[in-house]
Order: sequence, then C-alpha cells, then structure tokens
Amino acid sequence: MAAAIVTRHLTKLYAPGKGVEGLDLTVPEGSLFGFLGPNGAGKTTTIRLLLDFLRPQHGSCQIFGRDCQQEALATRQQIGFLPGEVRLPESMRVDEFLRYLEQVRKRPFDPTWERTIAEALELDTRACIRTLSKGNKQKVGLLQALAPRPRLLVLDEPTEGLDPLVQQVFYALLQSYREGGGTVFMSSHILSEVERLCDRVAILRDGRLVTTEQIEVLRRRKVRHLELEFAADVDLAQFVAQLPGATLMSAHGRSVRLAVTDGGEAIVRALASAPIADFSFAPASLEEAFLDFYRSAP
Amino acid sequence: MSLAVFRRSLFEARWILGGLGLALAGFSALLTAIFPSFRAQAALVERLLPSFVRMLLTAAPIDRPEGFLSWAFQHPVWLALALAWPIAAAGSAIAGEIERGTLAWVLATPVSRTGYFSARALAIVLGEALVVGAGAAAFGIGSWRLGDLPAGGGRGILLAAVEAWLLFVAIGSICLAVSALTREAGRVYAFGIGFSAASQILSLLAQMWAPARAIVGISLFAYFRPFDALAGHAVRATSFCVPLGVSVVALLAGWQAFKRRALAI
Repeated sequence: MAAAIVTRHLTKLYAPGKGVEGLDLTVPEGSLFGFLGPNGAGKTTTIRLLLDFLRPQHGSCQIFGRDCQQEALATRQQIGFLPGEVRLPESMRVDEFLRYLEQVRKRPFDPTWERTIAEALELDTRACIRTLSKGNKQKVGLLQALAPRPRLLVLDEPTEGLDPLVQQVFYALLQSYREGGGTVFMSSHILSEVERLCDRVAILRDGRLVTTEQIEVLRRRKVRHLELEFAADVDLAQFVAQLPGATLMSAHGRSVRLAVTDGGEAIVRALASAPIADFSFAPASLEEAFLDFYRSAP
Repeated sequence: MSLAVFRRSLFEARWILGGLGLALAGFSALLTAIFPSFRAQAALVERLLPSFVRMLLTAAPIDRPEGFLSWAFQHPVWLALALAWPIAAAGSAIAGEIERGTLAWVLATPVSRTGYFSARALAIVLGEALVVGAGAAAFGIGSWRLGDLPAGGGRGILLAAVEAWLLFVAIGSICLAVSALTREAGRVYAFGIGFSAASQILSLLAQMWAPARAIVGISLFAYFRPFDALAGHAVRATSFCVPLGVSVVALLAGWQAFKRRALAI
C-alpha cells in the first residue's frame, strides 16, 4: 500500500526534548492513523512541519510522495486540516467562511457533501461565527476540513469541545470519509476514541517516537488488573512466579493486586490450584497500555 | 498573489476604508472652505504666531492657495486620517492574523506565503490610494468651486496627492515588514504611530533648527514637499524616488522575513 505520510529523521527542536527529534513515521494511504502523546510530546510540531508552518532542522517529510517544504502548495492541495485550537474569523458567517476557503483553494466544494456534513453535525451555516458556542465552532472547523474532500485529513485533537452525541456523528463521518478512500492522521488525548477509530497508532514521548503499532497489537499489550482474596495464607512470591507477565502491585494480608499483561490460560490454571476466596479481573483499557508504554519506554 | 486574500482584505475593511475616505474628504473640504476667510486674516495670523513657527511658513506662504493647500496636506489631522489605513492594515495582516489565530486557515490551503504577503501589500497600496484620492479630490473640487486653485492647478494637486500616497505607502510597507516579524498587532500599531510621529517631528524641527538639518534625511517626511507640485514648480525626484525605494526595500525585507519565519500557528 502506498504511503500518505512519510517522515525521515524529522527534527525540529526548540530546546532539548521540546519539539520532535529523528522522527521516522509512515502512514499508509487509506488508514486511520492515531498520533498519541502527552502535552509537549511533539504532536503539534509534527503537524506544523507537515503543513510547512515550521521548517525542519534535519530530515524530511513527504505527503503522497511530495516534499512538504519543497512542494508545499501541491501537498497542501491534498490536505484538510483542523488545528488544535479552533479560532475562526468572528466577523464572518459560516457559509461566508466556507466560500472564502473555497476561493483560496481555487476549487469548489461539493455542495451535496458539504450539506450532508453540516446536517449531520446539526450546524447552521447561515449563523454568524461570533454567535457560535465553542462546540459549534469546533463543528465549523471539522466541516471546513472535510468539505474539500481532501485525500488526507490532518486533525489535531478533533473532538475537543464536542458533546458525546456529536462525537458519535463525527466518528461516523470519519468512517464514511475513510471508506471513500481518504486517509486520516489524527492526534488525540482521548484513547477510547483512538481505540475505536484507528487501525494504527504512533506514540510519541519527549519528541521521540516510542512505537508505531497496529491497534490490535497494542491491545494485546494491555495491562489488566487482577485482584485476589486468598482463603488461606500462600507463598506470594511462588504464586506470582507461576503467572507469566504478572507483576505484584500491592498486598495487604490475604488481598493482593496484580498487573497482568498476558498468559490468560496459565492464570486460570494457577487460580484453580490456589485457595481463592474471591477475585476480580478488571477490564483492560488502551489507556493502561499507553501509560505502560510511557512508564517502560527508555 | 492570492486574489481571494486580496479581495477579502479589502472587503473586510470596506467600512473602515469608506469611513476614512469620507472623513478625509470632509476634512479637506472644510479646509478649502475656510481658505477665503483665512486668507483675509493671513497677515494677522502670521503676526500672532511665534517666530519659530513663522519659519515654517517661509517656504510655503499661507495666504496663497498653493501654500495653504501645502499646509493642509501636512495638517496633523489630515496626516492621522491618511495614515490610519496603512498602519491598521499592516498590523491586522500577519501579526493580527497570528494573534487572532486565523492565519492557519489560509496557510493550510494551497496559498504560498508569497501569495498571502503580496495580497496584503497590494490591499495596503490600493486602499491608501482610495483614502488619499478622496482627500485630494475634495481639495481639488473645493478649490475649483471657490476659484482658489493653486498655481499648479489640478495637476499640481494630483502630483501632491501622489507624493502623499507614496509617503503613506512607504510607512505602510515598513509596518508590514514589522508585522512579518511579530505576533501582536498592537506592536505594529505602536511602531507605526511612533515612527510616523518621530519622522514628522524631525522634519518640522529641521525647518526651525539648523543642527537638525544634518540628520533630516532619515525622516521620510523630509521628502514630502507638496508645495513644489502645488505651485507648479518642478517636483524633486527624491519626493517620489525615496518613498518608492523605501517601500520596495521594506516589502522585500518583510516578504523574506515572512517566507523564512517559523510559524507556531
């Protein structure tokens, strides 16, 4: 599959650990790619480099095979962009803003597609932007990114400020866009959102890429919490040693709490042979895998 | 150049431009209307003025239409109204858009920084032509209606207006270059007002105090001599060439700064 985004040794540092350093990333065309990392990890810097707002100190980035700096206009023709902080021209109406962007792009938007998105988001395009709430302004940002039907959507924290119902609509729009052949590159803090939408994720820490994984692989790395209440005293060290991928988190009397990453069958066998009074196996979340990555990454 | 950005720049400023044009035309018409009564009292007015102010009138006698119009072109209110557009437009262009958070919408589309910068620069140049044109037209119509056309006639008024326009475009170009370097429109406004005021004060000072003449060349206003055109004399080439040259250099510098600038938008 062709690559929508390729970065090679991409570096833009404001200070040590601030910015991005040696970023090697490949986003396959047609994928929904999540870009994860805490605040200041370098997600927005990467997006700014892709859009040629910033110039790299080293390395390069390409979108659909074209260099983001040398052929900036050609690459931006392919992109729909939603910035992390949506600040719109307050004096315009929504439709005036869209027409302005259409003229700037020199390519008309498909009116049916534009209307479909606006209706799905329940956005009044005749409204003056000044009168819109934060959530509605975010909807305008999403609408202008999707309306030109770009080959690549670059979204920085796209659901910030959206209520849960509109988030669902947005997810449906993204799926529909992707089914039409589009590629999505989105940064997010909301891990459940990334888990639900994305098929690949890249995790960034202190400006460096920690890993790029398929979401399924990441799921398998999930940490689950196993809480046990023993009916009798047991040798805890020996018990934990029987459980592959288990770490003792805490122990109070006969109550123990374990972090478990794999070995479901071995766990069941070990539990069956132990004097268990009660147990609970908390559902795992991507968040824990993500945090685990952060804790364990060098 | 991005035509869409250019059109939008002028469309968004239509009320400001219209208001400034009307205000300048109204003020210019008012000045020409008072000239006949002013001329009747000119000798008395001149006697009442302190000697150092009287020195300003030696080059352009105010009891003649060309002298009076030359003074009117340099009246502080006239200058303030004419300078409002280039300073405001330059400030709201790059620095203002970064401050308002709206620059990313345009630069994320296939518009180059050169296209954006040139569109904003052209909006300053053409917008200022409208404002100065309105003021000069009011001078011309008012003088003609009252039968007080300067010796240089309508051509003289037109040439003086072109001199004024070039001067204000030069100041707007410098402000746009400053705008390309900063993130806050307020800094551009402060710079524009301060620079213009300092330049004009130096020019006036040089006419009254000989030691200041050694450095008056650094003042853009020193090259603004509307009396020559209004009196029908040959206009000095520096009156056109210096502001034009300053505009070109400032725009090139601003364009390069904006092209190379890291934009955290």
